[in-house]
Amino acid sequence: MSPILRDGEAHRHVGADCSAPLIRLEHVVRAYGRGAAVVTALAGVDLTITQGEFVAVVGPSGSGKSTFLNIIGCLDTPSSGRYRFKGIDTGTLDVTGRAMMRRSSIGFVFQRFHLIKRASALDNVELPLLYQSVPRGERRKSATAVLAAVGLSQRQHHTPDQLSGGQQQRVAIARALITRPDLLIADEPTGALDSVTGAEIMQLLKQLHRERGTTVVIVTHDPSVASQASRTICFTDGHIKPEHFDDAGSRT
Amino acid sequence: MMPVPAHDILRPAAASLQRNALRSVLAALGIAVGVAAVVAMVTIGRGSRAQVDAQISQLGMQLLTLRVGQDTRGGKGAQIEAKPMTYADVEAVRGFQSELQAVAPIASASVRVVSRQANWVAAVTGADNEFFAARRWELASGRIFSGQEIQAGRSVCIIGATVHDRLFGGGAALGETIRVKSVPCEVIGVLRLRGQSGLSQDDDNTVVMPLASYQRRILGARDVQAMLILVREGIDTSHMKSRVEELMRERRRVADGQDDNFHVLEMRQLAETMAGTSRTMTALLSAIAAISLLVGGIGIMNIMLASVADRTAEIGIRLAIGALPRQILAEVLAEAVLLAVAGGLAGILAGVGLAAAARGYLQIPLIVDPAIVLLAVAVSTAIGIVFGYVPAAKAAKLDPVEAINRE
Ligand SMILES: Nc1ncnc2c1ncn2[C@@H]1O[C@H](COP(=O)(O)OP(=O)(O)OP(=O)(O)O)[C@@H](O)[C@H]1O
Ligand SMILES: [Mg+2]
Repeated sequence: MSPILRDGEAHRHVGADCSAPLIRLEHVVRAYGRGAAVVTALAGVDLTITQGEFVAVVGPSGSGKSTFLNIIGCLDTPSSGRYRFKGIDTGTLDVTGRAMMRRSSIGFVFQRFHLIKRASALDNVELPLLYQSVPRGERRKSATAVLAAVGLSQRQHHTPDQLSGGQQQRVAIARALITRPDLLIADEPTGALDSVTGAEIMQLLKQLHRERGTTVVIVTHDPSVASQASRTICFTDGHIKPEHFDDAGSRT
Repeated sequence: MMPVPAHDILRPAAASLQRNALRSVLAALGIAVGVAAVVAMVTIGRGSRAQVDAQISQLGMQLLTLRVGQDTRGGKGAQIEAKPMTYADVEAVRGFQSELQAVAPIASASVRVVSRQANWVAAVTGADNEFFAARRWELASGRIFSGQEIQAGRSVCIIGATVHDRLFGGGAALGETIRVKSVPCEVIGVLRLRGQSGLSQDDDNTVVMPLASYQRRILGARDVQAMLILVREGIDTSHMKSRVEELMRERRRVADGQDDNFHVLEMRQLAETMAGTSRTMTALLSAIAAISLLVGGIGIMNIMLASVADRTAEIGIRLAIGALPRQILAEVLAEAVLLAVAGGLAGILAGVGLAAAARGYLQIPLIVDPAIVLLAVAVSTAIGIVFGYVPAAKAAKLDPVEAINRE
């Protein structure tokens, strides 16, 4: 496991261990259901991702990619094993503790965008700040700036159904970025988009990674998307296949 | 951590209620109806209570009324008017002078009275000057009887405002002569207007003349029909009532174990009976209120459960991007409270409106008690919190991963 990129900004969070890797999974198991119907989505995963990596997660459908993202994004907890985020054992956090971790350090981008339908692009983007009690004026300013950064200055007051798929995904990315997270997680962010628009979204993510040093973990079925990552993790049946480190070189 | 500013919670809550306007109105209706009913009934209750209180205080809480009753001693079950009282009885009651402020013997009947311009039927009472003290009647003009007029039973009279109006059109009356059942009678005084009082008949439709002259010329007998007994302030009226009863039993030779053939009405007791009735009413109202508010609260809980179910995916998104469970709880609670308070305010308006409409029918004053308004708002808020809590907790406990995929 070689660290490839180390140009990320310094950790901002108190209590976090700056020298620890951003993400560290030790024998992580996630099983759904119980008894005979039990499904093991993650079957003992060991993995480290360091600050500043751009990781592509690939693998067949049902192999556990989304489950993996949910766990590293503190949306879900392992059935057994240990997950450390910034050196903090997330097993020690309660529901609110995990929500605090998400709001301060993690941004999510979903395949189906998951925007709030009746709210304008601006309102959607500033939502994470609202829950952090940032005053309205400041919220607006940040949201406007982030929307501009994803190239949507002209669409601030449009609601999701007045926007194209690519534009909606840009709003979702802006929403994920407004809190300046250490980790950006994207589950098939281009899956619902045509290839041209998908390529644009990938450009945007890569630019972010380059300019801000944000760690990016992205699930994709598209080999051309995966090839742009600094590292590729391949899931099969809840296991990680041994990695090919030489793939890292293909990043440009 | 700072809490989310109130307007950031209330604005989306209000927006959400507006989006589902019809559903919100229906949900708030239960509370509105409950609150309206309670506010209306309490307001009407206050009004009629105030009216009764005013009437009682006009008559005076220290007043006892002694009247001749039914005599059961005669035949088997035959009810005949008991023998009347006499002036000697009056003197005997006046023996309690240190406890009593006034003892007014009266006899009265409805009699036709005639002036030069008009004729009219009024309540004509024979009495002495203590009568005015006992009933707290005051003169608007003229004078009360002189001792000589009372002693000799002169044909003079004091008329009430209604009689003044009917017989003299409200004009000059002093010194005029009216005929009371054909007896010519000089008007020496006019009483101040009393206004309508529901307990006794129209107090203003009255003519008062010296008892002796009434007995001789109108009644044709020396009967005293009743005594108004005004107990001094600070002396227990119930106690005085028993003493008067004891005295009268002795004077009227009512044997032990026999029913009294007279009765003493105690104004204070009457007032307390009425207050007791209104307490029963209040208890009944509270029960009705509790039931309608319970129904209203369940309505709100239902709507909020439906609203949370509708918005499961959205709540999942909010949780995923950094809302804390307690912030989601606060949002849903805010919506429930807003709904309940809106219902409550509508209910207050409707209730006061109903009471105002009833005022015309019932002839009572409109008294809106600020306490009931505050109480209605407080209760609505409490209902919002209590019945909003279950849906709010349900929303806050949603698992973000499951919720987000529920679209
Ligand atoms: N809530 C759940 N309850 C039961 N089983 C689940 C649940 N979520 C996922 N699974 C199962 O866990 C396994 C891994 O699912 P996961 O969603 O992580 O796969 P994936 O790699 O993301 O697939 P895809 O590429 O289709 O999105 C699958 O067998 C799936 O059926
Ligand atoms: Mg998936």
